[in-house]
Amino acid sequence: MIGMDRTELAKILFSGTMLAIGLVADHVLHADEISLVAVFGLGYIVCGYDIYNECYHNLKHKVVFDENLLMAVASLGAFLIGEYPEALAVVTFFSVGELFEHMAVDRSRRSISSLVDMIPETTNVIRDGIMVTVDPGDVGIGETIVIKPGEKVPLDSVIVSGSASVDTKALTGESIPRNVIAGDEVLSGMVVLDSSLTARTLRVSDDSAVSRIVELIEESASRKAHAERFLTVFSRYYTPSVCLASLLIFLSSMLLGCDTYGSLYRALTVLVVSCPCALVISIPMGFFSGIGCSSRLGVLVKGGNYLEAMNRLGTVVFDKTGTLTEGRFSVIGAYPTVDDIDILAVVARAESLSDHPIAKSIVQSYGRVPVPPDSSENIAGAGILSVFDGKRILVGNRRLMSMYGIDIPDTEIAGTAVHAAMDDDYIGYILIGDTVRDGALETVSELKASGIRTVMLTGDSDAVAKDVAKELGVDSYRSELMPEEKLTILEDIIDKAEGTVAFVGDGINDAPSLARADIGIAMGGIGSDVAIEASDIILMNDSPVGVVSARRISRKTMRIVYQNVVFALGVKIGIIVLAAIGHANMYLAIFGDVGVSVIAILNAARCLSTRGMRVGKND
Amino acid sequence: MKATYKLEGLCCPNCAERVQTRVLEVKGVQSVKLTFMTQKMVVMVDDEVADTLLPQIEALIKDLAPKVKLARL
Repeated sequence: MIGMDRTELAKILFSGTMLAIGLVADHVLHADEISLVAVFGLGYIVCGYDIYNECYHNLKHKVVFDENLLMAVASLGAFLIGEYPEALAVVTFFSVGELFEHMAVDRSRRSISSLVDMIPETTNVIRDGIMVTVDPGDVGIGETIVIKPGEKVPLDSVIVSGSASVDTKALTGESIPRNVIAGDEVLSGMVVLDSSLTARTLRVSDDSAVSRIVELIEESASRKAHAERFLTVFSRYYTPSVCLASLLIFLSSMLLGCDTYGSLYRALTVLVVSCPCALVISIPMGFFSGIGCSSRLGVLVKGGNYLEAMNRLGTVVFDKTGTLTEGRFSVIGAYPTVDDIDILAVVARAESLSDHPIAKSIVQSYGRVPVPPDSSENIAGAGILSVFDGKRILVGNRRLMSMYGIDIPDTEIAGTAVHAAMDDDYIGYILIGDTVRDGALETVSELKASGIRTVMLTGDSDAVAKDVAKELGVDSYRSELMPEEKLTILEDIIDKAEGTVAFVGDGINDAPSLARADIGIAMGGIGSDVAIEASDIILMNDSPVGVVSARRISRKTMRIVYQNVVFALGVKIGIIVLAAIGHANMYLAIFGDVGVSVIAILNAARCLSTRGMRVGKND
Repeated sequence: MKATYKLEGLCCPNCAERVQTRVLEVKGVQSVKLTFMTQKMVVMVDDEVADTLLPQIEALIKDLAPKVKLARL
């Protein structure tokens, strides 16, 4: 607890004690008026001082309708009409409410600063062949650092030597450690578990993962949801309206024959419930906590507005490769149509000079380093023409085969086939596949179960797309798309959609689609600047389940936010009505102010809890 | 130039907005963004007047919200 809060607490305790003494003196000891004024007045001055001080500053700056002024008027009015205990109770509980609000909001803020603690205070860096211990902020790019077992990775780096298990929980929410070897990247915030790593730094401290995440979350607080904007406007009108209502209640009570004291009491009671603090604080706090909660699960949401949009989610459009599937090709099988030919060897040799991911996967699957062909020519969009051992080897798709007049035997092929021909003869094909990502199935089925339409877009062949679409059960898919066609189709979906449309992609070549969708969701973590720029939600895990977590968190956050709005307004309006007809006393009004604040804030704090928000094995 | 402040003890988002509005009214201030949840205020001011303007802004905040603890980051 900070020093200021401790002083506040002392004042509250003093005023609370005075309130108790005063009540006993009044009701049990039947003390005289002068003593009561002294006891209640002393307590009133201690807790009321701050309120009056704020009023003075506000009035100096021409701020009239402020909760402090209302509390000052209401309590002073109560004191003057002889309701001393009520007056003291108003200022005391008002201070209790403020103190509580501070503490709750601070707690919500700390959920973010616990991430900052993931940056270690020192790091071991090798300079001129000697290991020195320095502040991570003083380490530049390209320096060599040593991370020992149990230490946190200080800066984003690439491993030069060593291998280890690393705990990535702080970044990805994933509790199972990941194994890393030389050449892999480690990010700040990860914890090296079992052995030392030597690594070369890729980014300075301020640009490393943890700092970027903290910055994104802090930035997110300034992207307001509609609910928040509405409330800012609403509270601007709410307080003056209540003051007006208070005046009208006073006048009408007088006209209807109520005595001056009674009418004043009614009017003052209404003033006490006029403070919109409960709502005004609980709503941004709810969104901030919801965003904090999702960051713990490895889902970075860039603003409350996106949580709000996720709540109205109607359609999710997935890019296939790298999102629903691993994006890594592997050979499923080799199907020669001619005996005595090792078709994998021939194709691997023919493709050994190509950079195409499929070619690479074939060479990798061959397992040996092929002898380079005598010549190799890339035929765009079709395949490769290579020459070796005095033979012309064609490797590629159906189009390449027909370009050279080679007939492909009529067989049903499920998947991507790489056909091969030697001179003028077809020699068979190699079947290439891409595996479905962990969690893709759960993601699609939970979205569908919530009534959300799922669409898959891909540049791959129809056969492959059909296979994956069937395996995952997506509602519809489009295949053989050029990148710009994906954007056109997405726009078409957005035009026709009920509810919001999210696009999930790997962030590298989907930037336009990520930016165009109502909610752009990028997979692949904090590493890619393009993904962070273009997207609204970033999944730190290599699994699409983050989409479901984000949706669950958004549903819960919005539910809590709406609960607070309805509850707080309902209670306040109810009390105003009761007060107008003379059935509410000031204690009830204090509950309508402080009690409602406390309840709304406690409710908003529930947004921080990750329970039930995780999908799959950790649920 | 850009200056970042931390305002500890802001009472509520309404107070934050009020401070933001008033700081923005100061002549020479280009933009202000004050976020209640993070308690951070980023002000952009004209370079040539920054030396006199920043103390002026600090004084204004102290006067507007006497309970706030102000720190330049």
